[in-house]
Formats: sequence, C-alpha cells, structure tokens
Amino acid sequence: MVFFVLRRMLGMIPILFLITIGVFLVMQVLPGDPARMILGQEATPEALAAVRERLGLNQPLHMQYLSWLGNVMTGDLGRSMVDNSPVSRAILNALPVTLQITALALLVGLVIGVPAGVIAATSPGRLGDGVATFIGLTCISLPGFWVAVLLLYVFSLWLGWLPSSGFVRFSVDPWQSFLHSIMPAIALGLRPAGIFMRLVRSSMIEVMKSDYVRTARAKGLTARAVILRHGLRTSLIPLVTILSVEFAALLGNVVVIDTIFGLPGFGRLIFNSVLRLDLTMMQSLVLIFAVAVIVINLVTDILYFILDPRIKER
Amino acid sequence: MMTDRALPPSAKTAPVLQVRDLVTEFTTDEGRLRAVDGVSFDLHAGQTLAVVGESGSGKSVTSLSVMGLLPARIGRVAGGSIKLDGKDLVGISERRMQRVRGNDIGMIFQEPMTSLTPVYTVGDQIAEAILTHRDISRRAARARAVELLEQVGIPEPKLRARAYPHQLSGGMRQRVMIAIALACDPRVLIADEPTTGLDVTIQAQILELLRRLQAETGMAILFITHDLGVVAEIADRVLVMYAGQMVEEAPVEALFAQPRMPYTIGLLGSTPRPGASALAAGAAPRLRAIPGNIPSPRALPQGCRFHPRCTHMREGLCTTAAPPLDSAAPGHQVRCARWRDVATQEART
Ligand SMILES: Nc1ncnc2c1ncn2[C@@H]1O[C@H](COP(=O)(O)OP(=O)(O)O)[C@@H](O)[C@H]1O
Ligand SMILES: [Mg+2]
Repeated sequence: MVFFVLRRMLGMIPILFLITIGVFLVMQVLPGDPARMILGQEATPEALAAVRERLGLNQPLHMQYLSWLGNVMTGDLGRSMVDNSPVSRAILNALPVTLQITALALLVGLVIGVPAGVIAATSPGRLGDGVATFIGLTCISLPGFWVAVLLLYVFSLWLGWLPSSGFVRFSVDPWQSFLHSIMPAIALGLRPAGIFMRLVRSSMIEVMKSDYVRTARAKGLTARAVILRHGLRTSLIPLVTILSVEFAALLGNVVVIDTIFGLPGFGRLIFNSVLRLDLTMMQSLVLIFAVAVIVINLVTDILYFILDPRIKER
Repeated sequence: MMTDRALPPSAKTAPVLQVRDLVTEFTTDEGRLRAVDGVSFDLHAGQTLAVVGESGSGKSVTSLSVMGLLPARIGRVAGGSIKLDGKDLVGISERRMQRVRGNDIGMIFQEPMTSLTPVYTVGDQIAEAILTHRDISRRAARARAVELLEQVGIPEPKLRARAYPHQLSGGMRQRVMIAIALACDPRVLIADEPTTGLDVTIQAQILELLRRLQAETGMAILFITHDLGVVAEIADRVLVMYAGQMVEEAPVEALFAQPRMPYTIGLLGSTPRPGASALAAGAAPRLRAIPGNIPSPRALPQGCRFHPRCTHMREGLCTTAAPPLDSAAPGHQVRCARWRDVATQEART
C-alpha cells in the first residue's frame, strides 16, 4: 500500500513539472505588459524599467521560469499585481472555504445519488426506477445558478431559515459555518447527484445480472445483503472514476456559486483576478487547480486500490 | 462398486427431493413460454441423478426452479410440486426459501471464473455462507471456512482463505464454489455443468472430489451436464430432457446399454449393445451431434417434439399425437410412441 502510493506520487512529478512550464508559458504569451499593468498608463519609462528590473522581466525566459519555479516550490506565489499583497495568503484564505463547499457538495451528490441509483437498479422498469430516473435527470438538467437562486428565494427570503450571503469559518463557529454552506453545497451537488445516480443505476443493473450475484443468492442471503454486499460494493468501483471528474467540474462551478452566495472562496479570487487582470493571481490559481486535479487523481487511484483487490496485481 | 451405485434406489427410503410434473414458464415480450413442461424425478440420499440434453432443453431452468432462483417477475413455477423432505417448496415465501438455499440445497454453477465476488477473499465468501445460516461467531466461521477449503482439496488452506478469486485458477475456484455450497452440510447439491469449460484433468479431479464428498456426507446430487462421458463417471440415474420435457429416465447402466428414445440413441451416437455397455468397454461415450436443432419453446412442433429430427419418425403417428411417458422396464421410462419398434429395428442393425 505504502509502496503503491509512493510510486504513484513519484509518477506525478514529471506531470507537475510539465504543468508549471505550461502555466508559465501561457502567462508569457498573454498580451499586456505586467510593469505597465502595475504602474498604470501614465508611468514614466524610468519607473517601468525599475519595475521590470525588480520583477526580473529583463532576464532570459528560462531564467525567469527557474526563479519563479524556485519561489513556487517554497510556497511563494508572488505578489498581486493589483494591490501588491502576497498571493499565497489570499489563496490560503480561500482554500478552506472552497474545500468545505465542494466536499459538502460531493457528499450531497453521494447521499442523493447512490441510494437513488440502488433503488432504480433494483426495480428496473418499475415505479421506483421511474421516480429515481426522473429525479436523476432533473438534477442533471437544472443549472446550478438557477437552483441557487431558487434556494435563496425559498430558504432565505421566504422561510428565513438560512443565511443568504457571506461565510463563517469552521474554526470560528462550526454550526454557523455549516448553515452558510448548505445552500451552496446543494446548488453545486445536484448535478453530481444525478450523474452518480445514473452511473450507479447502470453499473448495478449489470452487476445484478452477474454470476456472482447469483452465487450470493444461492447461498441464501437476504435480498438486502445481496444488493448491498455483493451488488453495490462492486458497482462503487466505476463511481470512483466519475468522482474525480465531477470534483474537477465542481471546482469550475465555484465562480458562479461564490458570486451568488457571496463566499470568499476560489470563485471570488478567480472572478476578481480576471476582472482586474491580476496576472500573478491568475497564474497561481491555474497552477493550484492543476495540482488539485492531479491530487484528486492520486486519491482516486488510492481508492481504486482499496476498493478493488485485482489492482494489486498490476 | 459401479454396480452398487447403479442399483435403483431403495423404494423404502423416501426421496430427499421429489419433483412432480414441474412446469416453469417465462413471461416474455412475445407472450408466455413454457421452458419446462412436466418434469418429474426422485432424488435419494447418497445418489446422483444426471440431467442431460442439448443446450436449451430446460436443464438450468429446472434447477433454478428447485432453488427458487428464477428471474424475478419473468419466470415462475406454473405447476407441479418440488418437495424437500416431503415439504413443498413451490409457493413458499421468499424468506423461507432463503433458509432452504445454501442450507438444505447447495448449488454450484458452470462459470467458476465469474461466480465468485471479485472484491472479497474466498475465505470470507465461504464464511458468509456459514454465518447466513448458523449462529456462530465470525472467528468460528472463518476457521470452518479453512476446514472446508482443506476438505475440497485446496493445498495450504489457511493461506488460500486470504486469497481473492482472481488469484486462483478455474479448477481452484470451482473447489471454492463447492466449499461454499457445502458450507452448511446441505442434503442436496445441484451442480449445473460444473466441469464445462475446465480442462480434462481438472474436470476429472472435480468429479472425483464430488464423488468423495458424496461418500463422506451422503448428500444427494442433481448433476446437470451435456457430456455423456461425465454422466458415465458420476451418475446413478439419468434423466434425458428435450425441449422442456423429460424424454427418458433410467438407471445409468440401462440407459447406456439400452437407450430407448431415438433422441438418447442419437446422443449416445452408438447402437445399443445389450449386455456389454460402452461403459464396461471403457470407451467414454461422446455426445454425437444430431442433425437439426432443438426447437424453441416458442415454436414447438405438433405431436412428438423430436419428430422433425427423428430417423424413426412415422408420418401420421409421430406428427399428430404427443406421446406420453411409457414404462420400458421397471425404473426405465421413455417418451416415444414407437419405442418397441425402435428397439427391434436398432437391434437388427
Ligand atoms: N430468463 C429467461 N427468459 C426467457 N426465456 C428463458 C430464460 N431463461 C431460459 N429461458 C428459456 O428456457 C429454455 C431452456 O433454457 P435452459 O434451461 O437454460 O437450457 P439448458 O438446458 O441449456 O440449461 C431456453 O430455450 C430459453 O428459451
Ligand atoms: Mg444450462
């Protein structure tokens, strides 16, 4: 197990390296002069030259890359081009917010999607299947922002049960933090719920026809034990794959959700950095997202390893 | 030995499993079809009944009917009785049937490669069968699983109990399946083509194992196969099925020596030689392909279901009336309107 994880982590290194090169180059190609962006249009040539000197923009490209990479490795992502504040601090502030919301959203997806999928798969072509499939399809087709607005209207404006905007950190007040996270998590999590439901349904319908489910029934297990221990357990393996894909998709959707619910997460950072053309911030965010996706893939591999003993052979 | 086993079961001991006039139907898009139509047999303790017939003749559906494992909502037992120790299993609740499965009746299947759940160790899968029916601790069940692995001839059973199915060969997996089926000492074992797809030496080992276990436990075996060589190896009695019906039933020696139904004669691929059977000669009788195909339950021919393929077919007789089961000898039944003529004709050639 440890060996497996270590090997996978070593395998990640070249990919991470390529990503840093990619991120760096993309930022070089983007139009615009960083020095002018920092100082504004009226800057004198002398001032511009000074800033370029300070940022190392006069150095050859590979030198610029190496010094940037060195900084990144030590956790220094540079300073914002807008207000000169350290980018790392902004990211560290936003990270827990986004992690909390997306993790909860995935949980919402699993809690709705897996049972619905099981119900649908174990009553194919009947009422339970029809209802679950309809709910699944609805979850997938409803746009997140629309669900968000609907939730806000019902639970904040109308019923007044949940706070409409802003965020409280988990470390400050766990309960308030949870209350602030519910609606964003549901708005984000419905789509994965529908996708999980359909995946569990289709893979489980296949598994229930398999020879080993027949063996389980021939042992005299109850229908419940057959479904949960033998049917669902093996159907979870394909779910792991989609889990990582959906998590990456969630990260992409936080912009809309952060904006609607006024959350201080990655979505807000992205939005603001694009609005203000904060190149350093954008570069760092792209890098973080890429790293996040890789880490998720590593977690996926580990989950596979735990769920499917056949993988150990490879 | 052989003659001992081939003796007809004592009429005094009641059969463990008694099936009478079993009718099993499927509801399909094209309407209802009868996959099993009036099958009857007795299965006695310590005895093996082989069910033979071409693919699609209703052998598996018969065994699934006994196990109560017909596909839900599609298949159902539409008639007859299946009595285990005199108690009818037809129509009992799913809950009570669960107590029968794996406990009173164990079952093994054709595909050992895919019949075990890939994500659990074989030891756990055997223990699960025990824990389902016995009130013992997990530890004790695990220990019993190791014993069972030893009993079915798996070397290093302690180590193998922790193996996953994919780490074992097909022959080993079938042994594990047998261990699961026997975990609760069932009185009946149903084996649906358990050696099909295994290579010949492994096949012989599995048959030998089943014989040994039967001698040890006195269980009755319902052995489904389409390989007559296997039948010769293991069976006491043989039931031949064709298109959902039983067409001949006899002690194994009588069947090989004097097959009565032209279909059985065709399967054996040799003319009957009274007295000296193919068995005694040591030549494993092979299933010979009979020209033509088994009819689908959707389109059964009028009269005798075998008549379109039968070399003894007589227009007007075989094509109109469905022949009943007739007794050719004590304990030897045959479904053929012309079995007497067939017997004399075959004897002449
Ligand atoms: N699930 C099913 N749905 C409809 N028909 C079935 C089903 N299973 C079996 N049958 C029918 O039952 C007949 C007998 O099948 P089976 O018992 O599997 O034959 P075999 O003797 O090869 O084991 C087949 O001709 C098939 O048409
Ligand atoms: Mg079959």
